[in-house]
Amino acid sequence: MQHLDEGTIHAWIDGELPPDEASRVESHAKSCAACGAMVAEARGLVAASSRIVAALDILPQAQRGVTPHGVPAFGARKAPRRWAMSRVTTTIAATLGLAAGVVLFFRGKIEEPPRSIHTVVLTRDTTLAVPLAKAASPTAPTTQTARTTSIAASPRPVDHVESRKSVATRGNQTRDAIAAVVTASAPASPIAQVSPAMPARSAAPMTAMGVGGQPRAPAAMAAAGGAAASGLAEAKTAASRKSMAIGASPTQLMEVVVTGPSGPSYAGCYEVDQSTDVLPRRFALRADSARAGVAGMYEVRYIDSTGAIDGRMVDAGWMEISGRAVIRTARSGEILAITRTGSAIGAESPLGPRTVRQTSCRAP
Amino acid sequence: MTDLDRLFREFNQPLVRYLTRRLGDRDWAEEVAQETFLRAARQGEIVSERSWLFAVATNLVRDEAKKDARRRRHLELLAQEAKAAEPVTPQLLTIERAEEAASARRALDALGERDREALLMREEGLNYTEIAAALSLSAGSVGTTLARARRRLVEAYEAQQRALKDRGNHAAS
Repeated sequence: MQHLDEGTIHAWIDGELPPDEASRVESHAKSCAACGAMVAEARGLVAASSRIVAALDILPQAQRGVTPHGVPAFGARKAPRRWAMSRVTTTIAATLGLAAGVVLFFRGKIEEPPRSIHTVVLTRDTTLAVPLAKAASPTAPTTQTARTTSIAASPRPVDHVESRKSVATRGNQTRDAIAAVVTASAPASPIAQVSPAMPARSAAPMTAMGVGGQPRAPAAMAAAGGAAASGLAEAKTAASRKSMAIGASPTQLMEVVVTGPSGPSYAGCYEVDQSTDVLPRRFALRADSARAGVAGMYEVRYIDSTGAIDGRMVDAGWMEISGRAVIRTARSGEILAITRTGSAIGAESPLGPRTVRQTSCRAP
Repeated sequence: MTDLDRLFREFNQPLVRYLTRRLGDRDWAEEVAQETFLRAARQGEIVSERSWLFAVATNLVRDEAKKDARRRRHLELLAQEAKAAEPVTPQLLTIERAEEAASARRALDALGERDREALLMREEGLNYTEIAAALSLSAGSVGTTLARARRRLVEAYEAQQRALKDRGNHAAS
């Protein structure tokens, strides 16, 4: 068979080839190293271009749903006001938490850290996500503990989440934690400064529950591999990413400790009605691959045009939170949340509700 | 529920998002979307609704862009003058988010019109047949168009990022 041209490869990745041609392309891509490399590159291009296009949705407030007359435009989302904290309140809370942590530390009262992957400190004004302790101790996927300090309670019930009243972290990570809290709560940092109007995504209901939003702090950006989509280079190197910041609701000050993925009940293959950030329209949520994905989350895999589960999405992962399958990427945070109620499946992305159905697929 | 209601409920959101990405202006996008739905109401029966709506919206953007280009340039000048006279206000977006959005916009603008529209339509979930119908392409060429568009977009974006980095390094030294 002749080598594949780029258009055919993209059509195949997009699931737009007829079945017989798709199977020909697939078998050729498997047997021809050059075409296999082109397929891999094309996948990177598809993902990277989706991210770049999604970045266009970052608009100034005046262009994001508020008319010149101050009337919310059609489809504009309102941030939940109930949990809103003023900047001053947030700063005071962060300072008190820091002080408590320092006191506890010097009195030797801090217990050994639990096995944790992430500790993040989030404040409203900075929409920060500061991973303080990363991969402290790898745990088995069956260890399903997550703790959250939530001064402003989550608007949805949160399983695996337990409130705490300090932003100080524990044990050996305390010094780093305090340094990170200081960084996170410094209002003068230009990078950390975010408008209340900024998080079009963070303000969405799905992201206002303690795990959504955009990582903003320098540490979080570093962990997420930078804010911008990095295109070709990223497509080739994203597999090296080791951690992912947990995003923040703009109205929360909290500490999150996640010790492992949970919820293989959502494992399966899904089809979404339209693209959502980097997620392709058809994808598989794997539950037999814990910790191979992003920051200990389960893997998200591509499904090829023949319905076979294909390669892993290198910068995406999923886990079950509050009875929902939450798919996240290092750069964009939460990109899709799937909820199952009986046989009905609902889904929401930061860009709006999505129609998702479970689809058949076969093992690679 | 009338056909117009159904069309609006089903397609308004993706259409406005497509137009917002295309134009970079939500209010303008909503105006064009509304005009598109009004035309759909006048049109009567439409065979392929999604591709028809996206095609009409795309044509409206092209027409309006031509008509308004001069007026917009004038308004931009006025806006710049007004902005220069304003007191400094806090940034609404973080620097890096704003840069990311600006880079994405410039990268998109670097594409040819057809490539840009095909890419944005695909991101809204249109299949190759619908894209071909909306842009008067042959279905067989959509894959090539998208491949070219994606590659150029990513390359243009990366060039922007490199330029920003170089400027940062230069400023630091």
